[in-house]
Amino acid sequence: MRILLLISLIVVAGCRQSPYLFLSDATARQTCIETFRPKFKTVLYNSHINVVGKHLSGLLLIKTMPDSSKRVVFTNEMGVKFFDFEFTSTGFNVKYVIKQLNKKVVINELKKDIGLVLFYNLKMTDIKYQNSENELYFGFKSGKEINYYITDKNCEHLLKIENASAKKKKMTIDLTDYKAGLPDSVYITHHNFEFNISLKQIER
Amino acid sequence: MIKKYLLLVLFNAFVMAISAQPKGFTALPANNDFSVRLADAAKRTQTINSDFIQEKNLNVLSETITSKGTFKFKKTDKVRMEYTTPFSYLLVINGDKVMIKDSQKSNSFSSRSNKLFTVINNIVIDCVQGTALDNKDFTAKVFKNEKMYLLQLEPVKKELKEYFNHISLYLDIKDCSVLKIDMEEPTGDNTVINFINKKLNGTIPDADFTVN
Repeated sequence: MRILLLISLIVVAGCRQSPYLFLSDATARQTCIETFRPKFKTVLYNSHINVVGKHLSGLLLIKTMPDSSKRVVFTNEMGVKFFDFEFTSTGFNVKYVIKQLNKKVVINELKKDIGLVLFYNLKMTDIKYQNSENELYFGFKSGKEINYYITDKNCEHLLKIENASAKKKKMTIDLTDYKAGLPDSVYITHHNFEFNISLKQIER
Repeated sequence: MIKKYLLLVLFNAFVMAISAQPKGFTALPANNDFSVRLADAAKRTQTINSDFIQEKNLNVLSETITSKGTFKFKKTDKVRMEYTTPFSYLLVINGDKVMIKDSQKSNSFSSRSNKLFTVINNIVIDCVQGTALDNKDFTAKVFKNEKMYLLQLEPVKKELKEYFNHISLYLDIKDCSVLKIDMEEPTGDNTVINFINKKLNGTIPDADFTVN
């Protein structure tokens, strides 16, 4: 009896389906998603990070450098620098990271999250177009995962970005009100562990 | 030949002596009264109430992040630093208790539980209380010009050297009160805090330093 129960559980777990089955394939359309690619000089965000019971707050500065690479620097309010990342056309570089955050898993997650907002390494040649009743889904494959950029049905507003494996939605980034070429507010929620980031633009 | 060599050594020594001195400042003579003046000023200072302007300079990025707020100190170990523009952030130090409040969350803890915070706590208190010369975490050099003393603090311990090359305290030559703090990081970035509209020894209620 127990073995039967165990087998049933394995079968049910194994049959877990994609959370995106409600989508229908759409015909290829103009890559309107490209119009949302961030274009900015310098943007400053008031930032809060909650990670497994710990709370960090500070300022996130994102700048386009003269060579068009992007620098992302996070300091606390009193000026202590936590990290300085560089996104270039040829790669990602950690310019500085505080000892307490210098862990591969943390850096990779931050690189992925911030990179998605910046459209980092997004190739417009390999897009899967789908739609729901009210939204357009632009799927970009990334290894075993897929990143969806989701707009309203007229492709006038970029509403959110989702990251998913074949069977599970892993992360959602909600975006609101583009200002100075970047969203005014960004809320990053990880669904498989407690790691949330909220960003709100600061007028300087 | 020896003469030439001697001249070269002397010239190098001269250049090194000049370059070790911050621009616009001269070293204090050996028999100076700085430590007595500093201790005397600390004795007289019961409270400080001031505004501040903080500039975080990200030098490689040619960017400066400017913020403003109010600073309060009450003898012997109470500090309230409140950022009001362009974000709200509050730091209260009351003895070994610390409270940090940002726009989302408030967090209280003992500074003893956090080694870096103990050091930062000591720096803040030392800066405003004039006890920086006695802090064993740093070696101190003192310079002056007509308006200011410059107290240059260099960290001794490895864990502090990761955060600071040195911390420069600029003190008013008249009353030894702190005008400016400049914290230089190994990455070339620095944070400057200018204290303005300073009032000494006014009344500040203890309630301003409550840690919940």
